[in-house]
Amino acid sequence: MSNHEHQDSKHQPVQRKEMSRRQFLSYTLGGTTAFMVGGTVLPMVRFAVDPLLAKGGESTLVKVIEESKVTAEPQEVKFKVRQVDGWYKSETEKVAWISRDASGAIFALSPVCKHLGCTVFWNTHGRNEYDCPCHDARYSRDGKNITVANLPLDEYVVEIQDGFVYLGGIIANTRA
Amino acid sequence: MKFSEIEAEQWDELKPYVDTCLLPITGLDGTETPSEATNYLEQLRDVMDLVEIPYRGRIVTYPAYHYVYGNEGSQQAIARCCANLKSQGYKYIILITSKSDIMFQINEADLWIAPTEDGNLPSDVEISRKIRELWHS
Amino acid sequence: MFKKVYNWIDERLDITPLWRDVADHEVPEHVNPAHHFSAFVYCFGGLTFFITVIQILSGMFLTMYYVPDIIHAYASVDYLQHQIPFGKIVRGMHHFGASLVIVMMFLHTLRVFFTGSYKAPREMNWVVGMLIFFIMLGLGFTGYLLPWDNKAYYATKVGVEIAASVPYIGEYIASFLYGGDIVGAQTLTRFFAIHVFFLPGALIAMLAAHFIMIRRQGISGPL
Repeated sequence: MSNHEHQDSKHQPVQRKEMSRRQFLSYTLGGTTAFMVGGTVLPMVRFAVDPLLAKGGESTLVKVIEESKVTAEPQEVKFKVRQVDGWYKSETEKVAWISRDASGAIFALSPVCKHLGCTVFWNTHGRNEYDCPCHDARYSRDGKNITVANLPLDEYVVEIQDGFVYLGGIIANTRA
Repeated sequence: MKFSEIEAEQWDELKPYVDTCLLPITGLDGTETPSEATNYLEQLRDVMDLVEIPYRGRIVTYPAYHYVYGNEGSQQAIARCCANLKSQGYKYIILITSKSDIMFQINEADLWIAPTEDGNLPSDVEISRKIRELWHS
Repeated sequence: MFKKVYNWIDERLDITPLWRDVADHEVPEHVNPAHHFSAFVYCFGGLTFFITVIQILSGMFLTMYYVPDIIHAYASVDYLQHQIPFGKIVRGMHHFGASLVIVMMFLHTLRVFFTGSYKAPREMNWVVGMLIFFIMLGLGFTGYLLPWDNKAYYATKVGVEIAASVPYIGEYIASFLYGGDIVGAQTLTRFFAIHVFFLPGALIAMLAAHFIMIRRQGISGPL
């Protein structure tokens, strides 16, 4: 047994610190493969994850007026909504009547009459109501339908940031 | 609303509410190059937007009267058209143009919306005032 | 780290024989360019496969932005090419790869032909190879329409008109490809479906058959 062991150690190849031929080949081969895979796959991955890296997409909210300028008396504000959705681009001008309620909360109404789509105005007849010039539909300060129309005026989503009022999409009236 | 937006079966329901007719008079005479014609039509569209969008529930826009030659003949033709529109049931007729040189007297029409004498297009506030006055008169 | 994970899985599932069977086989001397440089002609089959993989990958990524609709197809291609970073490269890979794959496949076919590798017992593999060739041509033809520009439109029109000249059944082929009487909305969705689902499915099945057969029969001997 001891003899056998002795023989084994005798035949052991000389230990060298250098890289073996096999190792060198597998590194070269692995490196080349990694380079080729990386070269083809990385552009594709970058292509696919673009939405993540696109700088904070313009929020759909639009800054319209300073918070401090909004009073209990409704005011008309006009604003442009620009939407870029891939290859679809659109820009629409919108109008909102913005005011504070009794508790001081800000809300914004869309002045499109729910009857036949004319544009209503605040207080044209001195009744502190929204009046429609076309068929005399009337809406309260909160947009509640009083005559002619069957539904209250729509509202805009309102958000307040750093002293400015931002308006978003149209929602059904929540106040009337 | 534009004439083309109204479906045949809707009309009976809408008719009582839509009592005003907007008749655009482009005022071309055939001497315009294509790009000039485009300009005139775009200008006219911009003024018409001030009427059509805020009052879309009560006003129906008819196809435009494009060519006008001198005052005499055109005046008669437009007057005829307005009279027919009225006999069809429209209570008010509004004529609209973006050219300052074609505004002539037509008794059958109730309102002219046209540029001022120095060529400025009317403002939206002024147009709104005129239309409301017309309806409340 | 990688080795530990591999060993952990291998202990449980014994996966070594699986990949050994696929990857671990000797390259005969007459096929190895290190021995005879002229043996590089044996690389074309592998290159064809490599480019096919790139085509499949880049195609998958392109469909993230592409829509097969006559109004938006061109706009979406324009958008993915010019607005998305690396869009030029990814679409470029697919566009130029499509030509290159035909070239490589043709060279591979020539090699097989001139080395007589199609002879018994490999006749079936030659037939499958030919089927792959026609599937590739079909992919090229259907893919050409998808950007929906003038070139695409007329190439398809001409292509389908040629198909329509087949005796007796030509008309039926044409209306099947058109999905109607003209190159239009129906043609585009049809070509998209064929390009993205039907032909690649067939291609993968045929490639599998091609590779299984070559493993069974081995590479043909030296000249």
